[in-house]
Amino acid sequence: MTETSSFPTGAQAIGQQPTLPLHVAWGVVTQGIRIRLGRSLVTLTSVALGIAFLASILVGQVVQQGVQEETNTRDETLRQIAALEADIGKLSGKKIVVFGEPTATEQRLLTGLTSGGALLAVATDATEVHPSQDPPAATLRCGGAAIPATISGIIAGSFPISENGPSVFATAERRIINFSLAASAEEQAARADKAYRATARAGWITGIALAVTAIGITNAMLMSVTERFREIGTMKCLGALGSFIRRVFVLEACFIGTVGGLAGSLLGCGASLISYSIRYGGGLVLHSTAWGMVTLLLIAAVLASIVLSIISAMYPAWVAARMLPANALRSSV
Amino acid sequence: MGRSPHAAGQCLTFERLNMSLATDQAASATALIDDLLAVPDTGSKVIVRAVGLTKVYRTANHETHALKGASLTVKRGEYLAIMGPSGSGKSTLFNLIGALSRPTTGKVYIDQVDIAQLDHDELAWLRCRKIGYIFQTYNLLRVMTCLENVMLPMAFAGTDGDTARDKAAWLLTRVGLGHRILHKPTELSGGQQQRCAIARSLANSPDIVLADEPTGNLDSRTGEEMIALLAQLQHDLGVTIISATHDHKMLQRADRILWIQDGLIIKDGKPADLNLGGGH
Repeated sequence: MTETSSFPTGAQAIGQQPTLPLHVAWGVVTQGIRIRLGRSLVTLTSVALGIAFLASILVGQVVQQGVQEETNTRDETLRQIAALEADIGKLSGKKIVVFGEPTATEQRLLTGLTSGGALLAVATDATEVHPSQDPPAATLRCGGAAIPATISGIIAGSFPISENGPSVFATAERRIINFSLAASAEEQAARADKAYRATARAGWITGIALAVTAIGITNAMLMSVTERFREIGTMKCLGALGSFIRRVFVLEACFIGTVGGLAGSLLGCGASLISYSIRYGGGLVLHSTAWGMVTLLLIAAVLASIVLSIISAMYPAWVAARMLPANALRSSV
Repeated sequence: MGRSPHAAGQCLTFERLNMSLATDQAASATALIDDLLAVPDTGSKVIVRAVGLTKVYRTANHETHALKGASLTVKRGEYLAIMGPSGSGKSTLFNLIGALSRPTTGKVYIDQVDIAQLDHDELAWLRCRKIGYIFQTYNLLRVMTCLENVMLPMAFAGTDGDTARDKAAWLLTRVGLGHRILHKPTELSGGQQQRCAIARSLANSPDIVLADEPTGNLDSRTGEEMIALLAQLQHDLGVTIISATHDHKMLQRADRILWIQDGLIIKDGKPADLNLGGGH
């Protein structure tokens, strides 16, 4: 440099600050978490509790839905048995012929009939459906099976056959009747309405839970970053790039989000299952819950935790990275 | 002689002259010319040059003029103390010289580079290599050991781990903390923490060490030790030391004192010439 450049305008002498590898930032993060363990645990707990709340709401909904469906099926079975009994009298000792492949729901009805004392016989042709000797009290058509020609020869033309739900041909004293065990249109509409309300309510509660969790996590991460502005200012004085500062906080958020999310999900799921097991009985909950759905929701909760943590740490980290060191050093939270 | 290369400087001077003449202050304008030309920027000799720095802090309903036009030149290897009462603008000047904040008007050149022209990343480079910082509150990262604290600026500079570790250990030994390198700052006394901070400030062999009230949190004897240590490092390593302080113990060690009051530099000279003892 000579005297001619007393007032240089360019930055010829300035070099490029190297970008540090990820493991350096990760080292700073883990060291920070270890040393500030108490404070980190507070942040972690806030995140975990938020996610636990979300997970318990989500799992609770799946459990409740499962239990509700199971209860509905049981009620429906009882109603069908009552309808049959109203027509053919007490089931005890009655012979009931079944043809066709029973669906899961119909299987429940058949089990109900057996436990009520009815004697079930599986029929494959007309002679078994309408035997001349020892006629059955009723014949159940299952799984919407087509009526075999041999049978339809006997009943065709005389009786309309219900297409949906199990149909019963009651044959008492040569009197053949046909009626459907399906619920009435009004009952079905009422059930659909109830299901719709339950879905809407679940959506609303999930939305609120998500918002509460998001705000909790944002608050925790915001505090965790802003209370370290001084430290950030110091690092900037020592030559840290803005990108390094951002990376440190995003990595930390990622870590807190993952650990907090996993812990929160397990905690929330466990609490929810225990409370519903106490309310409905462990067997019913175990039997009726869609476990695949529960697993999916827990994974979603962990992902939500990571994403929310990163998003809520990004803004203050971005501000901190752009701050002039003098302002960062002056700030006190 | 030697004036023609200062065309830009003269240009600035004439502008100022016109402005000043317009306000009928010819005398002070002449003084300004003398001031600007008295310390010609000889390139390698001058490490910091600040021209007409002002800084206004604005809040919702208040404006604070912390600096009202400060100009100074610091030569390489100098031990300069910026002194003045609280609220006089020392720390503001310190922050501006150290590229820690931006002036409202005016320019700062560090090793001939106008720092207003640098972007965030280039400023990071400058702070990393050219300047070492020492603070009143030490500002060590308490999550790290002394050794790691001193290694950190070298990590930011891209120095490999082993070299950084060796140099950090050497520096810590040099400042008298050789037996404490693996301690955390919280396990050390104030004086020891400041020694660690001094070692850290020297990590990337900067041209300038900026110290903001380095003795402010220390008792008198420890403060004296710090001032002596800084003077010794300046002597041994040839580093320029600029210290904002109101510690009068600095007077004996500093090569030059800037006395700042109400945002203006009112005295500039050797400690012996300034006669600061009585009035303040």
